[in-house]
Amino acid sequence: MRNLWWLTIFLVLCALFFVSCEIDHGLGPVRSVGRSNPDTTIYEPGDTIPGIQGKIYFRGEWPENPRQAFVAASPEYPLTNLLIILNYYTELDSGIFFADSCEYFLRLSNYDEDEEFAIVGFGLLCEGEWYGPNMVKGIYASSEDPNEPLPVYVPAGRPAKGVDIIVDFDNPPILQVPGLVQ
Amino acid sequence: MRRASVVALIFILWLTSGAYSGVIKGKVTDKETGEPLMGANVILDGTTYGSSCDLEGNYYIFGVPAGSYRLRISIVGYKSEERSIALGDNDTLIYNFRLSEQAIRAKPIVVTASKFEQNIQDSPTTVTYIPGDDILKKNVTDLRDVLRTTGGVNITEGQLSIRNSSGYTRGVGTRVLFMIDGVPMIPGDTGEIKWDIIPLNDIDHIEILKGSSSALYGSNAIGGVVNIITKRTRKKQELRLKLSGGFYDKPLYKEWQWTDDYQKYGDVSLNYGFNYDKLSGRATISGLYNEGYRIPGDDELEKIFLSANYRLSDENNLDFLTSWSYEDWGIFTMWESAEHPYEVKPSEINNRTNSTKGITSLRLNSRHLNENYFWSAKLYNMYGNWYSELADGNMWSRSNRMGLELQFNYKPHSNHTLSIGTDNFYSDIKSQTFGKHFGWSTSFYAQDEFKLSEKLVTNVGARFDYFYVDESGSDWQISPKAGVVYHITENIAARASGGTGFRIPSMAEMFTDMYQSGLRVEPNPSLGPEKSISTEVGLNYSYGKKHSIDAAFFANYYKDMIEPKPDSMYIFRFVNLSTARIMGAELGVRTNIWRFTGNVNYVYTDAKDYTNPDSVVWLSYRPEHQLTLSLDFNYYRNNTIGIDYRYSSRYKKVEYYTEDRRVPAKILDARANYRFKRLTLSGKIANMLQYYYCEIERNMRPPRSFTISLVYDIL
Repeated sequence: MRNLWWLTIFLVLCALFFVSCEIDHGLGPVRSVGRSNPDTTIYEPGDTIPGIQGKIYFRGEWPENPRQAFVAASPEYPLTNLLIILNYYTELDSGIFFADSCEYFLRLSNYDEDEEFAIVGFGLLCEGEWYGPNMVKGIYASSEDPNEPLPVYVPAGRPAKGVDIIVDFDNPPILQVPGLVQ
Repeated sequence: MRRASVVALIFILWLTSGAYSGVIKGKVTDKETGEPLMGANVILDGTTYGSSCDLEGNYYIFGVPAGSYRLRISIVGYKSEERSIALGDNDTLIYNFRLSEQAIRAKPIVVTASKFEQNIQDSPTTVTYIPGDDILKKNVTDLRDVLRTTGGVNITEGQLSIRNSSGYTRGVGTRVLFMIDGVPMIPGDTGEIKWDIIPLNDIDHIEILKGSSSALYGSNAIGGVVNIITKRTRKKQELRLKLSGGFYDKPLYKEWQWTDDYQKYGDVSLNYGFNYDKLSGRATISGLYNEGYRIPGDDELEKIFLSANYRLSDENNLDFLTSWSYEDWGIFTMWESAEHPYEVKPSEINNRTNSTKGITSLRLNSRHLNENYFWSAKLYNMYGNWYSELADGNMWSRSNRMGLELQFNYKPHSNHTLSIGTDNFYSDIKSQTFGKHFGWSTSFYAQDEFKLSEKLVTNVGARFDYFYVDESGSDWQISPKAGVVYHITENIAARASGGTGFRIPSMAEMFTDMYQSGLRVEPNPSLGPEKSISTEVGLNYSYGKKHSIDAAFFANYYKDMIEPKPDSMYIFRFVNLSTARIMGAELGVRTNIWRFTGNVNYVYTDAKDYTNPDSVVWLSYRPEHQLTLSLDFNYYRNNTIGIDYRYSSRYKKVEYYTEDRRVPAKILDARANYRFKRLTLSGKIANMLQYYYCEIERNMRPPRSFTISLVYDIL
C-alpha cells in the first residue's frame, strides 16, 4: 500500500512535469510553422506556396551525358559563398534532359517574410563533374546582357512567377565569383 | 665452510621471517546468493600487503609482520567492507566477508584517468561513471542512446563529442578516443567510432574522461576518452536470454507519413558466462533488425562477442577479447524536402552500406603486490571492411590497425605511483576512396602520482609521439600534463588540471578522393595534426554514497583544427584551418532520497571560432546549453519507473543548409521495469512528446517509439 502511495506521487510529479513543459513538437511541416495545431492538409503548389516559378528555354546542343539538373537561387551576388545556394535549390526531373523547354518551381520555406534573390539560375552537372561556378548554364537575366542577373522579389507566402531562364549551352553566362580561377 | 655458512644464513633468515610474520586468509561471498566473489581485492590499508580472491572466493595474505591493521575488501558492484585486526607473531587469522550488492556508487573506482585503479575523487580531470545497471535500465539497443542522455556528452548523428570538442565531420575522424577495456577502437581508414561492436549486456560500466588526455592516450584523446569496461563473470555459470521488440509511432503530421504501416524493430541476444577453475569468460551472440523510421533506414545487425580470462598464477592473468559484427543498412543522406522529411530523393533510395568489423585483443596482466609493481602488455588488432552502393558510384574500404602497448606501474609506497609505458600501432588501408596507404606511430609516456599528504594528490606526466604516414612523411608531438587534487574534507575534493593534446588526421581526412552527390573531395597528404591546450578546475562533494555534486570550469584552446573547405574551384579538401576556444562550465548533481534517485547535469559552453579575429563566429553543430535529467522511483526492491529528459539548445551555426529552420532538442523518455524472480520485463516510450528535430541538417530524428524487453536469467 505504501509503495502504491509513492508510485502515485511519482506519477503525479511526472504529470506536473509534462504539464509544466509547454507541449512543443519542434519542427513541423513548413506550412504549419508558427501554428499551434498540426496542419494535416497536403499542399498543392499554387498561389499559397512561396517560391520561384517560371520556364526554362534551352538553346544550342545539350551535353552528351547530363546527370543532374537543378534550379538554384542566391540572395547575394557576386557569389562569395557558393554553398549558400544549397538552401535555395531544387533538383529537376531527368525527363527534361534534351528538351527544348520545361517549367520549374523552386519551393521556398519562408512564409512569414518577403525575400529577395540577387540571382536565379539553371545548373547542370554531367558525368564526372561537380558543383562549381561552371555548372551554371543559364540565369534569369535582362535581354540586353545575359551575364547580368536580374533580382527576384518573392512576397511572403506567395510565389514569384514568370522568372524565365534562357539557357544557351554554347554561351553559358560568366559569373562573378570572387577568388575563382576562371 | 663457506657453503655451510650460506646454508646457515638462509636457515636463520627463514626462521626469522617465520618468527615475525603471520597469515590472513578467508573467503568472500555474495551476501544474498552466497556465490564466491572471484577477483575481490583484499588489502591491508596503508601497506603493500594484499591479495585477490580465487575462483572459490578464497584469499590468502602471507608474510604479514605482527601488528594492527585495517583489512579492506572491495570489488566493483559491491559495498566495500573494512575490519580492524590485530595480528600476532605466527598468527593465522581467518576473516570471512559477505558483501552486499551496491545500489549506488558515489565514489567508484576508475581506471581511465590515470591508467591504474583509483578513487574517482582522486582524478584531477572530470570522470563520469555510468554503471552497467543504468545502461540496462534505459532499455536501449544502441550505445549512442546511452550516451545521448549522459551529461556533457553530445552525439551528432553518430559522432561523439565531449563538452563540444567536436562538431560534425560526416563520419571521418574523432576527437574522442573510444576504447574497450583500454584498447582503442579506432579503425585505420575513417577513424570514426564503431558503436555496434560490443553488446550492451557485456558492459560492466562506462568511464568518460572529460578533458584532453593525449598525455596518456595520444592522438584522438584530444577531446576526451570513453572507456567501456566489460563484465567479468562472478558466478559459476550464467545464461541470459534477452528479447526486445517495438515499433515507431506514425509521425504527428499526416503529410510526413511515408508508409501506412507501423515500422517495427526487434533484437534477440543470448549471453553465457562461465567460471571453470582458472578460466572464466563470457560469450554473446545477438541479432537486430529494424525496419527503420525513414526510408531508406532499415538496419540488420549481427554480433558475436567472446571474452575470456585465464589465471596463469596468483599474480598473472591473461585476458582475451574478440568481438565481430556484420551490419547492412540503408543510407539516409538527407531528406528530399521539408515536406517529406522521412524520405530521400528517389535516386538515393537504394543507397546501402554493408560492413564487417572486428576487434581482437590479448592482454597479459602481472600484479606483484608484495613487490609493489604491476605491468601489463596489450596486443590488439582492429579490422574493418565496408562497401557502399550509392547512386553516384560504389565505394569500399578495407583497413587494419594493430597495436602493442606495454605499461609498467611501480608503487614504492602507498602514496606514490609511477607509470611508464610505450604505445605503438601500425595501420594499413586499401580503398577505392582513400587509396592504398600505411602509417605507424610509436610513443613513450610517463606519469607520476604522488600523495604529498593525506589531502593533497599531485599528478604530472608527459607523452612523446612519433608518427609516420606514407606520402605525408613523419611528425612528432610532446604532450605534457599536470594535475592536483586537494581533499578539503572527507567529502569534498577540489581539483585542477592542464595539458596539451593533439590529433593525427585520419587516413580518410588525408587521402579521400571522391565525387559524391555533386561534391568533389580531393586528397591533402600534407595535412598536419591539430593541437590543443586544455585546462580545468573543479569541485566534487560526495555525501556518503547517496548524494554528490560536481562542478567544473573548463577552457580548451585549439589550433590547426581539421575541417573540409572548398578552394577557389569549389573542390573540397581537409585543411588545418581553424583556431578555436571552447570554454564553459558543467554542474552535475546526483541524489537519492527515500525511493527516488535523481540525476541532473547542465553544461554551458562558449564555442567560438577565432580563425579570423575580426569576425569571431560560433563553431558549427555546438549547442550552447545542454541539460540532462533523470528521475527514478524504486517502487519495489530493484524495480523502477523513471524518466529521462534532455535539452540541447539550438545550434547557432551549421555548415551547409544555413537557412533551414533549426530547433533545440527536447526529448522525454519514460521507462519502467518489473523483476519477478529470474524474469525482468521492461517497457520504454522514447520521445514521448513526439518532438521533431535534426542533429544535422535535413536528417530528422526518430518519432515516438514503444519498446518492450524481456530478460530471462536461465542460469
